Amino acid sequence: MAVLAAIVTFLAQATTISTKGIGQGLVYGLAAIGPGIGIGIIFGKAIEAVARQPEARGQVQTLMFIGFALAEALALFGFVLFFIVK
Amino acid sequence: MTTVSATAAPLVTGTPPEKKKKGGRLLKIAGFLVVTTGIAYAAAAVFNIHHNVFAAPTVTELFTFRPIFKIGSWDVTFPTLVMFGMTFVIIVLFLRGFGNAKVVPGKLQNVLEAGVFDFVRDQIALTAIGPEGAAWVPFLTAMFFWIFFNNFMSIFPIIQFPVTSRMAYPATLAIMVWFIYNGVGIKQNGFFKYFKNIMFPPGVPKAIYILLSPIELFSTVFVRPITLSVRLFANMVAGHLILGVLFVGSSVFIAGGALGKIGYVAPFGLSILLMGLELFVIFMQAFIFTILTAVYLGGAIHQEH
Repeated sequence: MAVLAAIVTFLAQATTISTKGIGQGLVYGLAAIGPGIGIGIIFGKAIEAVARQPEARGQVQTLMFIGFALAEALALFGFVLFFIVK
Repeated sequence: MTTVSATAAPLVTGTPPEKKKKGGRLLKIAGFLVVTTGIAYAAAAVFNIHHNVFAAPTVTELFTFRPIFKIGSWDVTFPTLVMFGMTFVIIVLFLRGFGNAKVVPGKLQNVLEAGVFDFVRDQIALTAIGPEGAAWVPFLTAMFFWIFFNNFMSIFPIIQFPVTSRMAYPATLAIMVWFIYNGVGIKQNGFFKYFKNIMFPPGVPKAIYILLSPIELFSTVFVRPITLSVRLFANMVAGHLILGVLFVGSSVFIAGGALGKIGYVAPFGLSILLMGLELFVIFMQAFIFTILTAVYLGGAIHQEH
């Protein structure tokens, strides 16, 4: 039992789990899922719209870029919080 | 089947032999690599590039600057000087372009007219605000060109630092936009009616108002300036960070012996491509900031829609 405790304490101090690293990894990893799907949907719908009516390309393109920037902002919050998490 | 092959016979028989073309292309690639390796050796000698252990540049290394001099109690750093320089450039550009405006425009006036009228007025102000948008074109023009020129410093040769990646600049712009669109809404609709129109949009079943109104108020009044500023700030930080990492990596390649001086083309070429992407992001972020400002203004002016 004492040997087990010694091994466990040795391992605990040899491999310190840093919660900062876990937090940083989680914050951006989870933040990138939603916007990835969202941006894919936005661009897919824009391509479909232009394929159905090529004359609408200018307006669709403008709206597509606005939607892209709004969805991208959420992923970038995760990127910024990556540097703030401690 | 025989008729198809008869009508599909090519008019020019025989293609040029493949072997000669392939040899030429290989020679071109080899020549390119020789030239880039020569450049690497020259650069390593001239600039004394010898640090061959890669340590990714941290955020503090890339974005903090020592003060160059002090005005009163304020430090003036390199981004401050670049920002003032860019503001001066914009002022001079517009004064020279529109100073003696002629009916038949000269070259600079033509370009600026396309930028201001065709782009900012038609694509941004009139699209997002409607007919009253024409009154807001000067404000939106100043905002678009200021953000675009200051973002553009990220890939401009000697300066190579995006001024808007220091949070103070997007934050100030976003706070200014916040005051303006709330101010316009309050001035036009009255204080309580403005917030009532935000929190209780018409055409919604009454029971949902309990859930909807705090979310709407929070989103319109508090979240918008934060997202506006963080979007611009984080895009510029991310672009600068990735370019910094790749260029530092290229210099580590160059410092690393003969194989590195041949192979540095990979990260260097990738960073050149990323500078192209960065140009697109720069333009897009300036456009997005401006058009979202216009959309918020339009929402404040026409609250019933």
